[in-house]
Amino acid sequence: MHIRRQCKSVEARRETLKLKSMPSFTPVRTIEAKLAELSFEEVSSATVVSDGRFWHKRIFENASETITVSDEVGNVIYMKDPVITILGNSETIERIRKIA
Amino acid sequence: MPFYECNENHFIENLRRILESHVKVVVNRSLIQHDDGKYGLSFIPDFEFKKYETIAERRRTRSTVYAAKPFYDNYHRRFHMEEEVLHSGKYHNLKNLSIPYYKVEYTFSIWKDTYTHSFDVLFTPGIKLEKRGVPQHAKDNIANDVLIHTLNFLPPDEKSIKLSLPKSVLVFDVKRMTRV
Repeated sequence: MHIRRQCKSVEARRETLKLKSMPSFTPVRTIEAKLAELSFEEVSSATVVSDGRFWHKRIFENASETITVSDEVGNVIYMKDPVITILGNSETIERIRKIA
Repeated sequence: MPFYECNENHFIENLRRILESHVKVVVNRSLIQHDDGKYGLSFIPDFEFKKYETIAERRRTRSTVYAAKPFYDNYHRRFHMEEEVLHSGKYHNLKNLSIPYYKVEYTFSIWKDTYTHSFDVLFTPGIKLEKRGVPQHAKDNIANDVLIHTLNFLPPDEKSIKLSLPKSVLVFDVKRMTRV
């Protein structure tokens, strides 16, 4: 009964998740530290090519939320701007936005 | 019909604005596996090339890549001898080894305008020592059943090839998108 109620609450939280994507000028390490603080764990990673650029895409998850961090790889002369895409609740989005 | 290309940030933000205005939207996703030589070892950044360092060597990005030792490419079913050119930095057509990838394309249409975001996800190399037979042409220097490095290409995880979207977004898988 308790487990079913817990599952329901996770499902309910998933229904209300919001979408947000933002470029960040914060180093990836700072973002990683923040994600660890918010109890997100890395679940998958891959090398992605988009806009003619190579990105190291990593996916972080907690119980119901998903955050993707794409960091450009290679020798670039301009400032890197990792792209953070969040499928999470407003509180998480706000917390990430503060450091990004 | 205008067709707008977006990067990840643009695409997600456009989609978010539509969702916030309570408009129902259908997102189409196409996923096609390619191995057309688009990603040769010479052009990939050091970060990616490090995964191949056991079997391949190059001086820097965009320089010719040679086989560091004999190995068998299990994906393309091809045997490579030591010092064989795997990818030429100068002659772009000379590609003996290329990385397969998934081409992923997300699209949604609103008010007859189409917005798209596409990206390629590279397969991950898996290199291990295996005992296997060597093809006829390579038998001069190497004995029959030998312990040899074998290169496998592992498809990326499903989570890496999809965008995380809210449940309210309907995602339809399609084979191909025709641009009019």
